[in-house]
Amino acid sequence: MKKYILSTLTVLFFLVQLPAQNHKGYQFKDQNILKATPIQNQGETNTCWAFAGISFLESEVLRIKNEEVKLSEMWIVRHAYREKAIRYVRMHGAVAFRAGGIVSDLPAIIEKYGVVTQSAYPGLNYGLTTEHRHGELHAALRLYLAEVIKNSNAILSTAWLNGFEGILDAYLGERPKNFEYRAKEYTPQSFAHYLQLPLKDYRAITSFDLYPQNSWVQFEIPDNWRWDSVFNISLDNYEKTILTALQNGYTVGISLDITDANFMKERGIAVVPAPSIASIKKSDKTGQWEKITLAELRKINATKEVPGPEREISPLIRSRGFANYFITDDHMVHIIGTARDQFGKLYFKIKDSAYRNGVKKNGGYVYISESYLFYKSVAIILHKDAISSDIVKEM
Amino acid sequence: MKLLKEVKKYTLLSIVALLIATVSSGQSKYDGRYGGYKFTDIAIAPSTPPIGQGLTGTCWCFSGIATMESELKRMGKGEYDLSEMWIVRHAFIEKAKRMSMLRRNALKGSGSIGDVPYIIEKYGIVPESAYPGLNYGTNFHVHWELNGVVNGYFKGVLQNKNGELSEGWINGLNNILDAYLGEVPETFSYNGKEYTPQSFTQELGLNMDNYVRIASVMHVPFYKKFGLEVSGNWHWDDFYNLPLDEMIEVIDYAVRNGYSLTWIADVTNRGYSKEEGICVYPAESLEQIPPDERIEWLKYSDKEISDMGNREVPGAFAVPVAERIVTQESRQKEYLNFNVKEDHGMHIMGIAADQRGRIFYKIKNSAHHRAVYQNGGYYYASQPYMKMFTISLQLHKNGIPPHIAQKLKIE
Repeated sequence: MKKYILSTLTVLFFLVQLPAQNHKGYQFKDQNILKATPIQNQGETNTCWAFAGISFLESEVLRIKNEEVKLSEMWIVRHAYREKAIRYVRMHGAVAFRAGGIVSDLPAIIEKYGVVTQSAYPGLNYGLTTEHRHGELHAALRLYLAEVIKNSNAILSTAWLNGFEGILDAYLGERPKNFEYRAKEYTPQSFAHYLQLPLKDYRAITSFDLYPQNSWVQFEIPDNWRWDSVFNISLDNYEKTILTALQNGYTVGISLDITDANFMKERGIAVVPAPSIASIKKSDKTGQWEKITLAELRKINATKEVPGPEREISPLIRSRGFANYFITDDHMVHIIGTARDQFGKLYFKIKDSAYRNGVKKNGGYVYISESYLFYKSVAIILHKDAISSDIVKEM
Repeated sequence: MKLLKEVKKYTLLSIVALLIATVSSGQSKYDGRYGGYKFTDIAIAPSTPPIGQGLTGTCWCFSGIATMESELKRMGKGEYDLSEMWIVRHAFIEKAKRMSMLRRNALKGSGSIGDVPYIIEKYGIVPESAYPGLNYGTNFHVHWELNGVVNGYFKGVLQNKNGELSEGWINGLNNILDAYLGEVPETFSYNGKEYTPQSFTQELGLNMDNYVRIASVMHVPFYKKFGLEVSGNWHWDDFYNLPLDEMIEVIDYAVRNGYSLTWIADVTNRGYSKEEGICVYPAESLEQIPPDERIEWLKYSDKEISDMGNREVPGAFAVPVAERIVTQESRQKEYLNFNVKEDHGMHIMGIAADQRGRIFYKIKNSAHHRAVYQNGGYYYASQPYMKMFTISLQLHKNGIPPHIAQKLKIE
């Protein structure tokens, strides 16, 4: 098992090292890349949030302890399932029981259940060794719970949660009480302590002007099953927060809409081409695009072979997108740094665990333009020290 | 053991409560059991006390275990209380495996007459104290939630969302059963001795090869083995096909020689009275009564004859009722019409006569829960009832009369 992971990692590492030929007319130059662990594959599961969250926390361990550790995503998934099941049953099934989650689930789960290394809990106990596949597991859990809430004994049994955990034991493996890491024994709790993760210091932030500014709002997205609150700030502050955090060495976990033709998985690029001359963002109306005609713009947009001028993002477009389901919380990724294209435009470099949806020739890294990120991002999570003190004061 | 006592206490309490309820509501017009019938036991095979199946669909298991406990008594091994839930648990696993192969998207708590020997053969058996199967917060069996979650889980697995079944799904089912019924004990102590399920089974000395099943249908040749077409027969057990009269002869011979029988029968018919604990096949008109018995019923109208034996009508069974003629043909017709179904498993352990001298069979019934329980778990079933509503029987092969065993080529 370990050997396998190691060899996949090696292969991935090579892929990462290769020049990103798939970007075609886009030429990226990494600018400020923060410490991060190698990319993992979420396989055929809807657990991007756990992969993004673990990736984020692994970078945090690198930042805080300068130690590279591979943590278990499935440990998080398993305990999230337990918590979701309890809530689903208490709510008589009147909430969704989904595989999804949000990045801020991780601090909460680790706080309660600790955390372990990936080798201590690989979560592959059902015959597959190469890739996670949760279709059967999720269907089995969901239909199991659908029967529990029928309450057909007229009183809930004391066994249902044990039975539910029994399914998780069977598919993902039993929870280790102890495990070894660098020749020392840890429990899940003592290991969380060892990692020195400041679990109470992570903040979730969003920016939608349909919520009051500078206030905590219960975030109405389907995968927010813990009914967690996020702090809502202005779009200006939101952009500044992300950029400053990266500049100051803090990575950022992000929930993003990727069901958009401009999120080009196969090429590892996401942009928001300006649909008209008037919609071009200010910073793109300079240099080579200063006098661009509509015909030229359409030509660039038709193929997206080379970088073109992008759209100005306003709070209004975001609110409209959020309210009308074209900004949805469908994917979570991890921002590990910034890059620039041949014209000097800024992009965010993203670690993405979703291999299944496309051929990731670039090994799972995606370059996302400022416009795309600020348009299609749903929320972020980051350490509070990375946030400007003016905003933290309001929290 | 403590758990067991609690179960018994519970059962007792509910009996008392039900008795009080019945008496105070004034619904029962009779002095208690069996309506207007007075039964005298003629022959009783060894058996253990009735046990309630609680709110479960596991009659097939209680009746099968009752037969095995009776067998141990007959063999002089003493009185045992064997674990029904041990069988139920392992049957779930075996059913799930088979249903998954058939891609049949349902896993039910119901079972077949052959399940008990099938599971004992494969997994052995343990005493009740080693596996009471009550791990979910009640002190008596209630399986609705368990049946639901097991079936839901199984349906989820069989949606086959990964494009291939995982290797983990049987473990998942095992773990659910662990949670509800308890983990399988590797060892346990019984009467001060340590056993494994295997060593305990070995010491009991039951040989599952000795147990055979009998049915009586017209669509396959008599005296041949066949797979009985009932939906509960999930592992496709073989049954010997006997003419109706010979099937009844088997019951008589077995009980008189100390062999009891597992009995699967239809109980959703107007002559099965839970309140009175009797099973009869009441005539609904004069014409249905055998000609040589009609004389005593001439003074009644057809409606009166019908009402006397209709459990839906107040005052039914106040006197022994007129019963219908049953032939191989009439039985076959009702079987094919789904009017005779495999509703319930019980245990035939005695022969009795009513005050008119008609033969009845004494039945140990685990379905107390719904009954007014005036009869302590014992019912009496008439010969016409047996002939019409019997789906199948299971017994030790030595309980079959030698001349019939010869025709079946049973040694």
